Amino acid sequence: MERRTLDLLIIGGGLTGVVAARRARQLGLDVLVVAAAPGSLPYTSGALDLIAVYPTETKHYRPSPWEALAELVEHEPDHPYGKVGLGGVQRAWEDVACYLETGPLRYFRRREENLLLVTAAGTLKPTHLVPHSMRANVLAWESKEPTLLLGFERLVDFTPEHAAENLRDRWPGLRAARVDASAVLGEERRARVAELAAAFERPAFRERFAEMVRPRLGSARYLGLPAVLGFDNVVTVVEDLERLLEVPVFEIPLLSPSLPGMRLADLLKADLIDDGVEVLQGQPVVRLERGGDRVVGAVWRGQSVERRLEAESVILATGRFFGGGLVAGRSSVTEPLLGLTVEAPPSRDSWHMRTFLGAPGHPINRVGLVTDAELRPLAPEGRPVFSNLLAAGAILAGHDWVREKSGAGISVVTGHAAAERAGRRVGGRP
Amino acid sequence: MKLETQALVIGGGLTGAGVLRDLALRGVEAVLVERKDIDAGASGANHGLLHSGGRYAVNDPESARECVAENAILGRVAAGCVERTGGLFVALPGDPERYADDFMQAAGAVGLEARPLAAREALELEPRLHPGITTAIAVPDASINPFMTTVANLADAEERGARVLLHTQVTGMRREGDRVVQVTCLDSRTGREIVVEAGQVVSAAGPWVDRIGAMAGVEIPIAYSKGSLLITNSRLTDRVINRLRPPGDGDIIVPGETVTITGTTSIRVQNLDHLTTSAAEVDLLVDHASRMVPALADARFIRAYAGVRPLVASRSAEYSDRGLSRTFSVFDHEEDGLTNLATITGGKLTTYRLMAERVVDLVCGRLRVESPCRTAELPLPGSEEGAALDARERLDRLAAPPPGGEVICECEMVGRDRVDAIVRRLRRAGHPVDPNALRLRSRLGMGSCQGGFCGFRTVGLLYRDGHVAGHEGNETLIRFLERRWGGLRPVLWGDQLRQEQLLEAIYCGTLNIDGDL
Amino acid sequence: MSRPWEQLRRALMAEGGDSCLACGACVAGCPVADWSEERLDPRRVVRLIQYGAGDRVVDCDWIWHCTLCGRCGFTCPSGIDAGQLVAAARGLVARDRSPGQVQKTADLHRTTGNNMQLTPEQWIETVEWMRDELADEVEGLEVPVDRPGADLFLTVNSKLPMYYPADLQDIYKIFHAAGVSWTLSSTWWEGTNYAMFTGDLETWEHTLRQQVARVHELGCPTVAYTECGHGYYATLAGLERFGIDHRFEVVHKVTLYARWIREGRFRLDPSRNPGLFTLHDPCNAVRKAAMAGFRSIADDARFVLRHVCADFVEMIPNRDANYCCSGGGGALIAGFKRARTHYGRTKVEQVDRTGAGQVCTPCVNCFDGIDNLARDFKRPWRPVHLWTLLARAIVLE
Repeated sequence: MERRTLDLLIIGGGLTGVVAARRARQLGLDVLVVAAAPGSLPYTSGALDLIAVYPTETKHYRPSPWEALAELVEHEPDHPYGKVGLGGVQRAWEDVACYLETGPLRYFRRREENLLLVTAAGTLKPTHLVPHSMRANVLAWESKEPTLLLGFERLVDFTPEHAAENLRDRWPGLRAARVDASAVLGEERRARVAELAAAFERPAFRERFAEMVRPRLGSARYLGLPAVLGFDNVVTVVEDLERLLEVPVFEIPLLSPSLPGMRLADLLKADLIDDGVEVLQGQPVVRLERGGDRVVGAVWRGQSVERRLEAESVILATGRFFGGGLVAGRSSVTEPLLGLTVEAPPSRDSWHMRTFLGAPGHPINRVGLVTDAELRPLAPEGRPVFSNLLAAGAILAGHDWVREKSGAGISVVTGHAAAERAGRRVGGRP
Repeated sequence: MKLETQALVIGGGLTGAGVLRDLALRGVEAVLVERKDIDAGASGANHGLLHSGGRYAVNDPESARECVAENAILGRVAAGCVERTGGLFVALPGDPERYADDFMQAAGAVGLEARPLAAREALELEPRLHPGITTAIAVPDASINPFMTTVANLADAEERGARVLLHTQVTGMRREGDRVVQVTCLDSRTGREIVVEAGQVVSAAGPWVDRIGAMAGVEIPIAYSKGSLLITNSRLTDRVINRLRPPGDGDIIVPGETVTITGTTSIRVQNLDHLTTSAAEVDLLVDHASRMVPALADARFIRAYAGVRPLVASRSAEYSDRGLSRTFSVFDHEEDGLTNLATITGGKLTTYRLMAERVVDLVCGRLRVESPCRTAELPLPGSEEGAALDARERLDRLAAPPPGGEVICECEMVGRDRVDAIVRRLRRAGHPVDPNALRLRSRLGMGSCQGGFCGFRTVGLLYRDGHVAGHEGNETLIRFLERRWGGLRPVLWGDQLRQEQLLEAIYCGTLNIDGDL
Repeated sequence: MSRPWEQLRRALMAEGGDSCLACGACVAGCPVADWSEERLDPRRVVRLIQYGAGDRVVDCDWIWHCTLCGRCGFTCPSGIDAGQLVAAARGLVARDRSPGQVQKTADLHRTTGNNMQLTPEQWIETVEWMRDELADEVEGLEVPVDRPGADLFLTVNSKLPMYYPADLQDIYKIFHAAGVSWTLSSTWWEGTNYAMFTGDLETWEHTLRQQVARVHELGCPTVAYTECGHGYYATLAGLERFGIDHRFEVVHKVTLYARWIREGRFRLDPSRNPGLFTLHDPCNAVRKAAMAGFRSIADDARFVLRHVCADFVEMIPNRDANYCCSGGGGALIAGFKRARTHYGRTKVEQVDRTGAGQVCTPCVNCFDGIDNLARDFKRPWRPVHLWTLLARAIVLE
């Protein structure tokens, strides 16, 4: 592997890392992304949340994310959104939203409002940026028109009745049914998410599927399906189905792994590579090397040999516990690459509430790296640990993205902001 | 609703189930009421250990003798629920050297087969033992699945005409003279009141026997001793491992089919509700157990749980909890002026059958029923001759992906057909159908994700087949998730925390099930 | 419990197997997940080993339907590579019960120095025969054999002399045009290592050491590894794993082609390769190489391809997210044809969607894998080697 000194090394290939890389590239930086795993997007709905609940103590749902953000930034300056500032949040979100709106997944939003998505459990999920394949999901709920939710025999990850029964009191025109796709899939193929998605990519399958479904539509003005409508060609698939069935068609996100989330992850990565950014996946960084008050290099393993790269600036976008950015022992939480300070309640009994789903959320979720306004992690005495190390994304302290419904927003905004701050440092300027 | 029966059994743990079966086998018409689902007390919160008697040989020979006998009996009649793992008592440097000799001597005295082993041999058998063990003794400890055993007892009883009413709580008794003439119950699912008139009443309510007794105006002195246990993600030893020294905290490690269960503590509590396991308790258990099997220090634990042992506290002032005899007590309540109430409490899982036999002997005597007890001879359903599986076969049976149909629980390979079959049985018996009921009767939800994924799929199936409607399914799902939370919360570090973070992300993120929208 | 259980558990723990969150990412990308009555997939293999049911994993056919493509490990959020577990399980299968021809091929490599049992004489005869034919067209063509001190030691997949000898001429032309110092070897020239597929660590190490010794004997500073994905991977991985001292570096030939193009060593005419091409990424030389920290040929192959053909379209997904050709892991000769065909449907759909007439496959096994698919699925597209395209595009003065 050639040795070179990058402008920016980004550790972490999830939403945070790729958004940061994209921004860095726009700024003309020589940037490389190294990641252990694909990040959390494959486990999300594919829609991007900005913020929908604030404050979490009262579970107050906020139809307008910007109003909520204005409040949050004022009351919680140490929240990642607070660190970036309202203006920074708006800029970052606008940049990424425009990119996704004009890209092949054709995301859409209403600038001032959160949108409500129908979920597989018949609950409503508030979010902000929605992929095209779920556009009609939002509209169908808003219209309350007669709608058919269709499941597949033997696909146990989605039961249309589960969703329909829970929404029926507010949406009497919602109906559930299922089709047996095995005849069309072929007997050797089980009705799994990946199989169905591959099938939907084929025009011939879509036609036969439409033939099966047409007689079942009845008076339905919308058709909802589990999120199996193809891979990267999903927009074509949806439009073709709409043409064949003459009703708007939408996806309902499934649990794990989630195709819409995977599509977004793949798109972001592919665009980065097209832009000339190297993305090394499946290659966990094992050590960061220090030189004075700077992080100078990253080391990761091959089979048993170590490799090394040097960088002017480093962004740590390694996520929380799931991604390995934070590690919880029995009584403390650590940041494994540099041993950065993470303050957690000393007794595990205080890490989680006594109920799983209750407000305001689990204290451990707010634990993470405390940073300065430049997004540099701080030592206990309040100075940045390294002059050229920034942190972004879920690893930051002071938020509870699961309860605020702000996960994507925090990733996008702090990734974007970290890249800008790193960009200002290029050439050794503080 | 009024119900008349010869015998009423209160308590759906393993003791109650054993009593019901014994009564049914002796031809006594019987009804069992349980306020929750099966094994809601200590029967559902124990080690799953079928004692050889080794643990009690030195300090409690009476208990030890019972264990020796029952180990052999259950090994036969409950063979389908038992895995003959064998056990090792191991000594570490610093453990009293005399204890090994005392052990062997005591073993001889109680009829326990015990074989001393050199440390080297023990390590060959169990490579994960601490390399510094000094000596070991092999005994016929075994692993028993209490849920399967309870289900088998109840199934056999029902087959022979007994009735089982779950989610049916005893709310009061009416006593006239020397008899309990009425027992009032409440079906918590329907809100319906059921009045039972029974010839004889047996209270097998574990640590709740004092409350039941109070309803009949009798006082039963019970001390509550909570024991916490931990379950690992995977099976770390093949055999039961005990510490070769006087019994203490955290010195038992039991393989439970695909996992390892380790415990336990012994903490007096005043309250039977809302049992929790603190982080400190968990840490203590991990520290103690890892002295025998170092791998436990870094193991991933998937759940912590606690059960309460009822200790008959007649001499409570004189002994620590461990000193109180673990053998059982049968109260005939003649001193309390009653001729048709019996209480069975104390004891341990291993002696459930014997406990049942004793109290049913008493009850049958009062009913003038002369049939003998046959529970030591008649195999339980699923444990017939030749049904006993060796460890390999058993694991194969458990571990195999189901032959057809969708898989509902990936962690424990529970397939759609199995779920449907259990649902059918529950419906036929009039029991409520929910993910927890399925969990108790299969391994659904007992694996790494503790029901996180399969709970959702199961509720989908329930909606699909019309067992729930409207918001019921989501309410059930949330109850299931909150229930499992109790066991998860104490072990949320390392990978189990990662697991939980994934599930919280899915439920609160993708599904927003915590929202009120 | 029996030994397989314990050994697989150790392999599992080495992968960090207790970290599995049952998320199913591995299942989503596996072309043979739950496809047969055995109902296995990467997640279930991890689970079975955790249970202690190692025997079931060792005895099943599914571990031979798996092509060790590495996709599962690539997508796992806990970093567990189920492929390593499959490889470990294969290693626990008794050698004489190894299915199909995979172990037998590895044994031939060990005893004869190559998979096809060619003697040095037979090998050299073919080398020279192809040279003599090509020398009519290419003035000054030299094909060195056993030249000490040559810069590049070239390995060759034995399928070439055995089944596709004319391909040797493409390779000669390229090396000739590049004007580099290179040599073939009369012994230990094989550019594969099937023992890696059966988990036969002994044979893997033995054959690799023999080749290392030969390279040292000739004193070549660089091994130019032929287009055989697993051979490249097995060499780099084996050098590390077995701690073999070596005084040379290993470079994939495609990397050399790219380098030579950049250095301006060729005059290229891409119009000599008309039609629409797409590119298959060999698992071992791209995804698995990258994950292991070896150089992936993904960028190099694309660079070369863009210079030797006019019209190129990527298949989706591509690079380290690409799907296996269906012939990996010894699948071509393991004897499970139905599994391989079922596996290949994903690759077929990928190629169909590109509309390309030719699939460039920089790997000999991938070439055969895709060729089989084209015939089994009755498709009009065909595989083509990158060396073929390069040789054709090279304009010799």
